[in-house]
Amino acid sequence: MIELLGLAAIGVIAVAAGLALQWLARADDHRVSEPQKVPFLGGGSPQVHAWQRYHVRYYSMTLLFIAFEMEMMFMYPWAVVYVAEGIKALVEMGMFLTILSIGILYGWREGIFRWQ
Amino acid sequence: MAMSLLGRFAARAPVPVFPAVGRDGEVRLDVLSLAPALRVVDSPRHASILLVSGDIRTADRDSLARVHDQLAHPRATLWWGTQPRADTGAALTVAAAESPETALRDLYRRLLTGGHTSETHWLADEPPNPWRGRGDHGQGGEGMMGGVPYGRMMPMPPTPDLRDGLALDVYTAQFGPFLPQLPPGLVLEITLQGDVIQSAAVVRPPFLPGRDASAPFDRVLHEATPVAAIERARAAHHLRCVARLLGILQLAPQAARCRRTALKIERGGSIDLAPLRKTLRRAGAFAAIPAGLGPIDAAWAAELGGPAARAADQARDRRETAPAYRNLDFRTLCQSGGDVRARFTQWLDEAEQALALARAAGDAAIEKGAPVETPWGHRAPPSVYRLTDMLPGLEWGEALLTIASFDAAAVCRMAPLGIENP
Repeated sequence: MIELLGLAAIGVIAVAAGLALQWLARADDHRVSEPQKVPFLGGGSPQVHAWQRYHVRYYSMTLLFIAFEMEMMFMYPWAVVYVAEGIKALVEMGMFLTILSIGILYGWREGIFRWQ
Repeated sequence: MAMSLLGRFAARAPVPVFPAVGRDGEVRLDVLSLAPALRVVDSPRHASILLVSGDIRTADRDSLARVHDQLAHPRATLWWGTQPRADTGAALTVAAAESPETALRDLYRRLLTGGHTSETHWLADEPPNPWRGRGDHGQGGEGMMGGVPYGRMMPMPPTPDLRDGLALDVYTAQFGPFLPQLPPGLVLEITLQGDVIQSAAVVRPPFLPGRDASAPFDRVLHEATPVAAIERARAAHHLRCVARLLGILQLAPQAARCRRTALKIERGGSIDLAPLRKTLRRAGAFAAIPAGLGPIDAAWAAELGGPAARAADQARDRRETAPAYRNLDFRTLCQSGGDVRARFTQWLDEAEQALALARAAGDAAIEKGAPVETPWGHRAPPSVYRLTDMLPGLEWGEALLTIASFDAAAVCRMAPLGIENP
């Protein structure tokens, strides 16, 4: 019971501190104005919002990383049980690697192995 | 009590200043930025004081107000060699000939200890594009894509991506005139996909470098001027150009060193540039400029003249035939690439050569009104070759490097008011 009371006290203090900080910020009349929310463009102004679809150019590297990293993540525990499970484990790992290799083949087709 | 003590401690730190550079405000700012008591920052978000240096065009007033409003509180403005805005009340001004260092120090101290109240906003405190309550659900726009102003214009952008064909949303914005990475005054409307420039157009041209009757290259029009003074001014000009390019490469200490060296040269110091060059090589400045970036062809180089032309292997220099240089064993230096790296190297080579000539010149002088090889090439009407034609397809950083690889006069000629992109 006493532990719960202690936790509740900590929670109340944390919430009170948070609210107090918010209240202090309210008391400061220098709130963020609308021009401050606009990105800095050296005095220029944007025509559209920056919230938009952006080209993640490292996506191909991410794909490759996930393909190989997931492979290794499952291979370590698989190596432990392989001796006990035998041929069944081998077949399951073969299926798993086949599925993953499709991702690697896709990446290959997209040219992620070409060094630029 | 505790706050004022903290404020006094904070006020001892270097003053974070964001410079808004107007007409003829750049060189004196270069000199001021060397003061150890100041920290010239690249964004108003990091600054407490807006330093307006040089005259502000009427068209740039709103931009200045926008930059001012983007400074975090507490903030203040100091007008250096320019008329303050009419509506700012008791504005703080410093004459162009004076250094504002003490005024900035004092202003910063008062700002942090409560002696100077933070300035209010100059622009109306409303979003640039009102959106609240618009649309069926007050989402800020109309239609499925969100629409104007803050949604997507259309399902797919009108232009394909220039790099790998994967078309995503385009971002169009006006950059400048107070963007530290661009020449002062230049406003470009740039359309980006990611960080690749799709198109660029000049909205407002950069400031033409002003004429200063006491500067050697203008003095020679009125009186005989020593070759040494001319060559020192050339070396200082080139080093300041190098410093601007180094700033874009994020090599701020090396840029400051170039500016310091330029100042020493102007004040008559005898400087060996070899150690500076070695520092730049070790810092990776040459390697950081992509090979073959921003090339200009022979016709383009001939049109620009000056170091940009010599960097494109055009050995044209008035000093070859000038009588004052006859005994100085002058030979024209050239680079072969015609790209950004070649222009960067050319500036350094010519600065080194100019200092050697200044040492050897003794009291040789150039006659009044004699033709002189200026450090900035031809000053002529706008060129048919346009900066905005170079930028599409370049990444943002490459584009900034390309622009910075031309001196102010060349940029002025290549970036007249946007008539090329209707």
